[in-house]
Amino acid sequence: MRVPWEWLGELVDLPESASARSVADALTRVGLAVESIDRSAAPFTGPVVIGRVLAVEELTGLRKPIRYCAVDVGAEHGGTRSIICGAPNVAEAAHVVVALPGSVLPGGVAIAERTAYRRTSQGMICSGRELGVSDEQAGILILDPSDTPMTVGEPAARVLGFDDPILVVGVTPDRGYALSMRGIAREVGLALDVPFHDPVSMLHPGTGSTGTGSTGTGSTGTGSTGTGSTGTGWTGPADAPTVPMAEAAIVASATIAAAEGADRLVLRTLTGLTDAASPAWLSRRLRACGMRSISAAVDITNYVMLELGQPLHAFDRSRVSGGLTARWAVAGERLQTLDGIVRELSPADLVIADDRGPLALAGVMGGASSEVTADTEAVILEAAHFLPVAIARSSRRHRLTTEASRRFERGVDPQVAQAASVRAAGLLADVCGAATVGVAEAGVPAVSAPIVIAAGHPGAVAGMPIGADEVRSRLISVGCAVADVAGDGERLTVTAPSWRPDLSEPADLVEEVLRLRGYDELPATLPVGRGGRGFTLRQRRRQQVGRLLAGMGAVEVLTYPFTGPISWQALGLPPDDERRQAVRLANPLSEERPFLRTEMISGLLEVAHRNNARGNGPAVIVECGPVMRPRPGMDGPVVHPAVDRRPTAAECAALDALLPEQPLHLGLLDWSSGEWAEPIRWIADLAADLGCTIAVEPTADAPFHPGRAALVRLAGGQVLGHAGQLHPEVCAAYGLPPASGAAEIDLDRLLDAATEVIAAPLSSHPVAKEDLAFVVADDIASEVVARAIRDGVGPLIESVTLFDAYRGPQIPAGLVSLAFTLRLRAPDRTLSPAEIRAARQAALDAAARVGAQLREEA
Amino acid sequence: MDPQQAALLVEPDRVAAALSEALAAIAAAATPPDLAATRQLHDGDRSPLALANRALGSLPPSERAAAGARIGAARTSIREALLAREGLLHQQWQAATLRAERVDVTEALTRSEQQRPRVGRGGRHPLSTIAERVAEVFTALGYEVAEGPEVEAEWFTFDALNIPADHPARSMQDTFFVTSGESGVVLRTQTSPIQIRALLARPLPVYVIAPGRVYRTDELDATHTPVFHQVEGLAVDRGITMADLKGTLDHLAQAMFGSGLVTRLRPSYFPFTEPSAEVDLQCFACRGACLTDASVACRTCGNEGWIEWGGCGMVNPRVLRGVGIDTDTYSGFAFGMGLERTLMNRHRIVDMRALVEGDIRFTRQFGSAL
Ligand SMILES: [Zn+2]
Repeated sequence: MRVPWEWLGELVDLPESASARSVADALTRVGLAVESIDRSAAPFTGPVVIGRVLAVEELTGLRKPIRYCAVDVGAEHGGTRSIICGAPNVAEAAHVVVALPGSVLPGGVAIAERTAYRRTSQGMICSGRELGVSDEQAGILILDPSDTPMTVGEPAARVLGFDDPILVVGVTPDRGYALSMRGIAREVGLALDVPFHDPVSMLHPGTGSTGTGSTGTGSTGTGSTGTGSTGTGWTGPADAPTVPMAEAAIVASATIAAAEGADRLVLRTLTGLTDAASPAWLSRRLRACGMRSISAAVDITNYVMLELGQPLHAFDRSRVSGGLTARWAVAGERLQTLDGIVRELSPADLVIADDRGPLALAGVMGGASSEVTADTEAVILEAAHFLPVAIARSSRRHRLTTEASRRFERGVDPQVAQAASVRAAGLLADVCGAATVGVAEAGVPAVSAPIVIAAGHPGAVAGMPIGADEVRSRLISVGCAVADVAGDGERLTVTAPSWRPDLSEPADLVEEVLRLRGYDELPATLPVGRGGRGFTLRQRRRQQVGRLLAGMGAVEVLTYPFTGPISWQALGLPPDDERRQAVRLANPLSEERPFLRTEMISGLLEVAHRNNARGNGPAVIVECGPVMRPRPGMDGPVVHPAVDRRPTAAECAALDALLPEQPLHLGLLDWSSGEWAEPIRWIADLAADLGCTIAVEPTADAPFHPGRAALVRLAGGQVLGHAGQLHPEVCAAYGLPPASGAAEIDLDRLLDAATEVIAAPLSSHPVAKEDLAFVVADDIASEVVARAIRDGVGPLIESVTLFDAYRGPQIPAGLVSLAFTLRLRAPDRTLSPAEIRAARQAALDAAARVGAQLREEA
Repeated sequence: MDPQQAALLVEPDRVAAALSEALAAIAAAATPPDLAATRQLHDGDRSPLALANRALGSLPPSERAAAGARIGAARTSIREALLAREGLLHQQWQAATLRAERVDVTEALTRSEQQRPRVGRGGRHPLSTIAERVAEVFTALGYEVAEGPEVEAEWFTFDALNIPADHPARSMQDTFFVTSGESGVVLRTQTSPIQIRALLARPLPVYVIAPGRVYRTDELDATHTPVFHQVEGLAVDRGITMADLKGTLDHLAQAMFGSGLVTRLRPSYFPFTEPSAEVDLQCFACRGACLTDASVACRTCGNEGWIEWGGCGMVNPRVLRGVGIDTDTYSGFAFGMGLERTLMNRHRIVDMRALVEGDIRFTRQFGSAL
């Protein structure tokens, strides 16, 4: 909401010392955050100043009347200037606006000294239209110094209301009332503790409002005076011309046929409308509030909306057949809205319709067929109260957010419709000469239900004493009616004012009391949880994984989990790869990456590529995070458990069933070592740190080198993931060294498998080492031989490690020589030579069973 | 060139013969070097068709067009065949290379690890470590760490947090929706759904802290990222007050930014808290001196004295009732703040992109803890 300073000053008695900054701070403190302070920009530039006409010389003998004026423009602009002027209303002593040479007026009109009628003109005396402040072009703009103080020579922008500060208030969705000058001014009054003049109470008594409930308590606390400034056209309807009864036949009737959508409809029929330009003050305020001036009739409806928060709509009476009804649309009905779009209506759309069909999308936008035009002589002015949900739904369905829909969605004062109608009628009478011929009404809006609150409750919530008197007075100050339940001051019955539909529970009232008291006064106390067990084992292991990897030299990165076919292609995933089964976003940021990631490696490849491009690395990078995998049944029916009670276990299960699987994965990318085995060793070390051992077997799965990557399993056989060298095409696609490696594992599974350490007894007896080399078929994995040896030797074997693998001319083709070191040790004794020989023989026998023959003594 | 000799070179039969010879040679090339030689012979400068092409200039003008078209078509065919053969040979060569490079992957585990290659210094992403740091501050206060899914049901993300379907607050946060608008699933826009899961899963009293990754449809720039991190705090117990909230936030401010710092609350609106407030952090650089001393110009807070930090409030009784908690007995507070903002302030990181690009130089600065 944009709040022009001069307008605000009309509704609140701002103290002399108040500045836009100080008011902004005060508003922010009570919960209306002022996001910025704008200045209304003038539509002209350069020396456009206030001048005073000193003398007017009528030039005669010309085809049209021309006057040659001496104008004082102030010493700083050269004192008295001579200016030619054609306007009939230029007069001595008049205060005028002078555009001096060098200035540029709206439309790019550059002003320079010129000669005409054999006289030199040193500038231009401007009309309202030339200055862009009004549409008035019949004469020059004459300013009234008693209305706005001004000095000769000062820039005209301020006097014309252009340099006025504008508070830009961020209105939170709960405070619909603050989308009006009335609402903002009330808050400024509260924030500064100064009188607020409710524009609704300023309307003519007796017709201004539909009842006492709406405004009765609202303004009394701050002393409404009932007399506003008169500079901006305040006229009650009593001043408006009346028309004979005979014309009442054209008065539109009002009907509500959609009780769930509308509860108030006030239709005022006016005739005698003439097409007029908006007065300058009105168009200036609209502009300051960010709205365009269209025509006086439309501008007035917008102005009253800004002033009172009540959206209004004017229909051309001659294009309406019969009365108007607020009803639900019928399937198949269509409406061309004012933006020119023909909209298919649904039964969930609330419309204003006449005998023939829908004329407006209620609370959102009017229709083209009944639009007010320059020829319109009679209008029906609609002031209604629509229910927020109905308008929100239509607005969302038609993707159409308007000033009206924003207000209705956030809650319009249901009692202000009549007052707004009266206010608009007064302005239409003044500006357009329109006269009310009749008013029809329908509906009685619901009144706020009383809230019972313990007087001590706000203090209890705040954690500091707040007396019952203070609670009472603060609630009254925001417009609530407050009564004692039992007369003891312990419990209060509070009725919220009509403009505060957001106040419906004691907690809402607590906020009102506390925000006005000031959050700064809250004390600070520190509660502590009871029996907290610290991080869970799993959480500690997560942290352990992060620290271990960093300690081993990996750099952690966090990538966006968005992906798409481009990445899958680059990884070389076959068409039926399950990693191509992904969860899709309805509104992705990039059409190339509309899916959620199903694997970690492509994200890491991009990061590696970026680092390479910056000359960083080589390095090892890691990321831990979820991957998302569609779950069967996740496209089942959506459940909507009620929110006024605890959901059942079945409801919670049904909600969780909508979600994809989101296992935690670990991805690693190594473009540093150039060794295919390194990624496998990283995983083995990580597993070992968590008390797990892994086993590997060859795999040809993408994105890996088909002969240099492994499927990684836990000792129990469960698949953890993949590790090894990347396929050369993948490395090439991301510009990485050809032997770069990667790993991806299901970290959840590894954490699940993590075990508490049971300390092994350590033998202090000496170790016996035996080196054995075998020749074995090339397709027998070294692990098969090592395991055979381990199993064959039994408890005495401490470890079997490969120290050489040889393929080449020294041995037949198709065979490999594997050399192992065996470490033998007993827990309770030094092994005897016989025991060592027996163990060695057991190893040879076991190796032979898997086809490995002893090659030679190593 | 002699026109007669030229006419000979461009004869249809001769061109056809050159073409079929070339195609046969290409098909016969078995290795990439073979193919290179074949290319030189049949598509090189001295190849029959190259010579024929050069002869065109010596032909009578009337014959040039037809002969040129003939030769051009033949050369195109040869080049296409070369390209196709090259692709095939590359595939075969690569398959053979990959086969030849095959290793015994179990050696990665059976080999003794005497000579592991050295990699550079590692580092943890500061967002991970700051999340751990915040969690640590709160576990010391008896809180536990709660978690929840990033792809979350709309019901947990909105409905249960008092944000009904047609409420304007629902569109306050630009939400990523999964598949279609009717799937009931979104990328969580905040860590607050973890509050609901924690309250449903845990016995009262509940004191939890919940760091996590969240999503909004913002484009990446110096101050925004569509994927970011929040930390959510929740305490529900008998007699929890807003003063408790203030004290807890002050405690966090001091733990993260230095002793003596305080926070400031400003009234605001969040559907799941009532009363609600924005949290500002007292500027840790100038400690508000810029407000009282005109000679102090503070870049950290932009001379505001305060830094926007997060949102908070007393848990809305509607939310508590929605998880079956008796609001006459229990009350609670909740707060949430962006970890990126916290980190950027704490370590003077001026551009959000540093946190998302994965530049290893950035992360290495932070080592393994904060
Ligand atoms: Zn500062």
